[in-house]
Amino acid sequence: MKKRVAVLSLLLSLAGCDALPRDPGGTLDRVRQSHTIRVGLADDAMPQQARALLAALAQQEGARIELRRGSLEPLIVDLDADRLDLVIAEVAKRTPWKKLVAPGPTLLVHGEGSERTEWRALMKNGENRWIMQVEQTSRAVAPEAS
Amino acid sequence: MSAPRQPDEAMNRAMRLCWWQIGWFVTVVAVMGVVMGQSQTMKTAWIEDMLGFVPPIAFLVAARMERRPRSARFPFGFARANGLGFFVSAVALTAVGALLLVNALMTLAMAEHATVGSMRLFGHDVWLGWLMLAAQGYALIPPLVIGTKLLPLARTLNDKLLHTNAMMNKANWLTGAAGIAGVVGLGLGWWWADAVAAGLISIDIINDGWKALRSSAAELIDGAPRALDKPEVSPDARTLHATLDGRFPGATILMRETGRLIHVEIHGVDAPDPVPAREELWPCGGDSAWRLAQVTFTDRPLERDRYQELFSPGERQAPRQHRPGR
Repeated sequence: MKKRVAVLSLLLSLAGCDALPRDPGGTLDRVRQSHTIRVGLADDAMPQQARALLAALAQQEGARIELRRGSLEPLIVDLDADRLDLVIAEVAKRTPWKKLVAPGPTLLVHGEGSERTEWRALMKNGENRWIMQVEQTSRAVAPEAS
Repeated sequence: MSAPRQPDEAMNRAMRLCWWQIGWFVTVVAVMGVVMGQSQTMKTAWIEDMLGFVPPIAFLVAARMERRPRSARFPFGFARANGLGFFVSAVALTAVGALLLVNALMTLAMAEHATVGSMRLFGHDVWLGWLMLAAQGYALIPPLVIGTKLLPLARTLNDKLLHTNAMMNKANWLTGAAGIAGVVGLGLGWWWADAVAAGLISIDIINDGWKALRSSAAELIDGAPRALDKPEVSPDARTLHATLDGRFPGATILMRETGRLIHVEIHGVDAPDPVPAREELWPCGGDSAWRLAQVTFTDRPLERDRYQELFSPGERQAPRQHRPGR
């Protein structure tokens, strides 16, 4: 009985102090310490919603955006290797990359049906606190799309 | 010997519990399905919950079939439906354990970092992990309650299918507990926590499944009656053999089990006149005499063989040295 109370107390305290989730790779901690968000952009231009997302994240964390342009695949490799914190890309609805990265809520939609593409922020899998923060901010800046 | 009268009340109670179990499990599968997201741990727990339907359904189908009268196509009746259900359930239980172990090992080997994001709920952004914890907490309750109630019924009825169902319930709530530890671990940034917890629990489930698989296979190929919770020959069967051996010295006694019932062949003696009552031959108490379904006498002697050694006093001391079939 004492053990159950202890486990319940632990869970409630974790819930109360908003301690969960944390990042296994410490992405959010790194952003806060370095005051830099390293972003990969898989296109020449970026839609307004994506710019708003980056501006809001930078403001929340008191950080500056370090932007790097490139092709989607090398950017995802960099994301997985912790050389980037975020990738902004226009991806197909059924993109196979969805299993390798954690896609945030939709920022902007182009086309319909099988030709539909979506602008999204892509994060490294498992960095759940950082993922949650980007998801919250994406929903705030593009509520209609998400 | 008249047809055995099984304890109807316990049987009806077991059937009611199985219906309750199916109803509860439908709600568990629905709740888990809503919140599982992309979490592999939750998906595994969900598949396991789906496999949890197999034992109660097998029990209900077998119980219904057993009550059917024998027919031209099934002249021996349907008592073995329970044994078939036992085998199917044992396969399901072993599969659950194996699935859990393979999934845990793959997660650890590939160092998969599970993503558990957030969702918008009533105007608030909520971490999906909290919803998973609530779902897993709810999913713990039905198997814990039903499994606890099933165990004594399985013992009363000596029903291995029902016992396997209770073990499946145990597997389900243990996996639920591992799932909770896993989600909390993920939340704390320990990506390996759920895989380690699930891997440890899977070993226990595979052990239960393997024992059930051996017993059910033995029953299907007319092996000597097995104990309820392990593949060794049951104490009831040993006592019955000793009693019959004393009553019919020199006879060769063969026993097998169909579901809850034991069938005996006594070779090398004429049938006594009058034929003794079931309670007279059954040494384990009148309450369970219904388990002795049939005793057949044949005057043609059968050569004493290694099977008989299984029940000799010397063999009881070291039962693993001369098992039949080795």
